[in-house]
Amino acid sequence: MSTSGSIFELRENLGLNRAERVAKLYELGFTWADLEDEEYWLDGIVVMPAETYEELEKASSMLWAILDKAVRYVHRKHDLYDLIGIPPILWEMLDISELPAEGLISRYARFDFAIANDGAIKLLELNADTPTGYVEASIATPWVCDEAGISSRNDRMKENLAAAWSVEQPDTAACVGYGSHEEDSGTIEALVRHSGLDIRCVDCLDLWVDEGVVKDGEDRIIERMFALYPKEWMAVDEGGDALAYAIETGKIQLFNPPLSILLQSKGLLAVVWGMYELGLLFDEKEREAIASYILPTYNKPIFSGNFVSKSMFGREGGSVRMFDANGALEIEDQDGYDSSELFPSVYQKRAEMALIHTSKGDCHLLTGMFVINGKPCGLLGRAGGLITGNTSQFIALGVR
Amino acid sequence: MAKEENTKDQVVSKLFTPEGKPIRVLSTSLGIALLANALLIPGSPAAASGSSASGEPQLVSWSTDEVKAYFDKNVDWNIPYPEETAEEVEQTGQGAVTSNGTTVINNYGGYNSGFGWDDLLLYHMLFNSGSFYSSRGWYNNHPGYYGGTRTVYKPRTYSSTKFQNKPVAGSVVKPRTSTSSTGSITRRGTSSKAGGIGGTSSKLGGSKSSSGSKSSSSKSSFGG
Repeated sequence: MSTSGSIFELRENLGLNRAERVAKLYELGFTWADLEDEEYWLDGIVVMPAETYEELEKASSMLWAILDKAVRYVHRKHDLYDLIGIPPILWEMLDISELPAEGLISRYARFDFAIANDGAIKLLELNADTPTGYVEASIATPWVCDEAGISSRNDRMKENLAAAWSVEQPDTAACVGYGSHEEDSGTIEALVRHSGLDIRCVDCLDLWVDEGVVKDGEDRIIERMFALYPKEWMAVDEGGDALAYAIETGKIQLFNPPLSILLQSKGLLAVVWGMYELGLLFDEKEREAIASYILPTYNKPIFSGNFVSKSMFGREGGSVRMFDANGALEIEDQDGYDSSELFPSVYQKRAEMALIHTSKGDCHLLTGMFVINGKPCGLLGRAGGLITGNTSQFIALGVR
Repeated sequence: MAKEENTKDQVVSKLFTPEGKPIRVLSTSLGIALLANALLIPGSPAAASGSSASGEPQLVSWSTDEVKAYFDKNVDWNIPYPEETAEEVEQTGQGAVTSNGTTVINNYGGYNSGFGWDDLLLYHMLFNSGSFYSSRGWYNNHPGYYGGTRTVYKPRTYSSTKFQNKPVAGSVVKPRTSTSSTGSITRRGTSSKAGGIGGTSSKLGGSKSSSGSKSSSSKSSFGG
C-alpha cells in the first residue's frame, strides 16, 4: 500500500506473523513493541527518497550549529534564562559550566521534524537533554529495514554513541523506574551495551544525596552519571536542591551535561527566530537555513494565522495546543502532563506533517533525527494524530 | 566611532518593516530582551560605544534649559568616594551621575521639590538598614492604642511558618506570587533521601512511574 501524492511510501508488513516478530525484537532489546493490548510498534516501513534524506541530514547539521551558536549567546545571561523558562535552580550550575567545543554541548540528542507530503522540512523541536527512541532507531529500525531489503541509514548510531561515551565515561546510567519502566530501562541498557563500557544501571528513585555526594541504593558513590532524568524537574523534586548542590560542587558529573538544558528549552527556538528577525548573530548561510527550516517562534502568541502553543519543557506532546487561523483552540493534547502549568510556553507557527494511510487508518508522520556525538545519524519514525503524543506509534523509517 | 554609529544605524533600520511597522518579534518580551542584550553588552554583535572620545562630562541631549545653564563641565560631577569626604562638597540640592563621560543632572523635572522615589529609597536604606519592611519595627518606636483604651496595640506577629514576602532559605512556607498560587521556594538542601530525585516529577507525568499504575506506564515519552 503506498501513499499517493506524497514523497513517502508506506510498506506495511501485513502477511507476517506479528507475534514471532515481536518476540525477535524482544530478544534484540526492544521489549515494548507490544504493551498489554496496545500495539506500540507498527510493523511496516515508511520509505523516504534519498534526496530528502540527504537534505534532512544537511539541515540537521546546519540547525545543530545554529542552535549551538544560540546557546553560546544565551549562556550567562540571566534575563534570557528567565525568558526561556530555565528554572533558577539550574542557573548556578549553568553559569559555572564552561562551554565545550562546538557541536558538543549535548552528545546525545534528537531533532523532531515535520516533513510535509511534498518534502518540505520544518524543525518542530530539539530534544537535547533526555531523548528516548534510541532502541527503536538503533536496533528495531535497522532490523525491520534489513528484513525487507530496504536501506537504513541508522547504522552509525552505535559507533557514534560509543565514541561519545568513551569521552564522557559515565560509571552509572539511571532512569526513573529502572527494571519496571520497560522503555526507559531498555533505553539505558541499550546505551550501556553499545558503549562497550562497564556501567551499572540504577533507578533514580533509589538515589540519595549525602552532603552533596550522590549514592545509589547500595551506598555506592556515583561520580559520573548518565541519567534519563529531565533536568528541569530538579525544580520540582524534593531532592532537586541536593542534586544541584552535588553538581555545582563537582561531586557528580551529569550526562547530558547541564548546558544541554539550554538546547532543550523550546524557548531557544524563539531566541533563534528573534535574532534572525533582528538581523543579528547569524551569517548569510545560517539565515538561509533558518528561513528554510525553522518555524516562526515567539514567546507570545502574536500570529495572524494558525499556530501551536507548547510548554518550553513539554514532553510526550503534553501541553501542546493547536489554534486555527482565527486564533481559536482547535485541538489540545489529552494524554501527556500539561507542564505549561510549571514552565512558560512558546508559540510556533503550525507545520504540515505528511499523512500516511495505513490499514488501520490515517496518521501523521513525525520524523526524528538523532544527533550523537555531534553527528546526525539516525531516523526515528512515529505515527500519530495531529499532536504526536504519548499514544503515538513507532514505525521504521527507511531510505530508497 | 563613525563605523560604530553606522552599525547602530543598521540595527535600527532593521527593526522596521518596509511599511514602517516594527518587526514582529519586538512585540514580545524576548525580542526586546534580545535587542537590549545585543545593543548594551560590550562586544556583542550590535554593541555601540556610548562614551565620547575625550572622556569629558557631557550633557545628555534631553537636559532642560535650566540644567544647561547650570552645567559646568569643569565641575567634577562624580559622586565622591567616602575616603574623600574631608573636603566639603557643595550642597546643590541636585543629584548628578556621571558614567562613561555622560553627565545626567537630576532636578526632578523643574519642580525643585527635591524629593523623589530615590530619596525615599535612600531613607529606607538608612533607617531600615536595607532590611525589608517590618510592621513590628514601626510600632517599636510608634506605640498605638486600641480605640478608647489604654491597652497598647500589639501588632500581629509573623514568623516564617505563617507568611513571608520573599523566599527565605530553610522555610516551608511558599510565598505567593502574582503568577502562581503556589509560588516558588528557595531551599538549599545538600542531602536528600531516596525517592527525592524523580519521586515528585514522575508522578506528574503519570507515565513515568515506577509503580506501573497506569496501563501505558511502561511506554512513555521519547523523553523529549
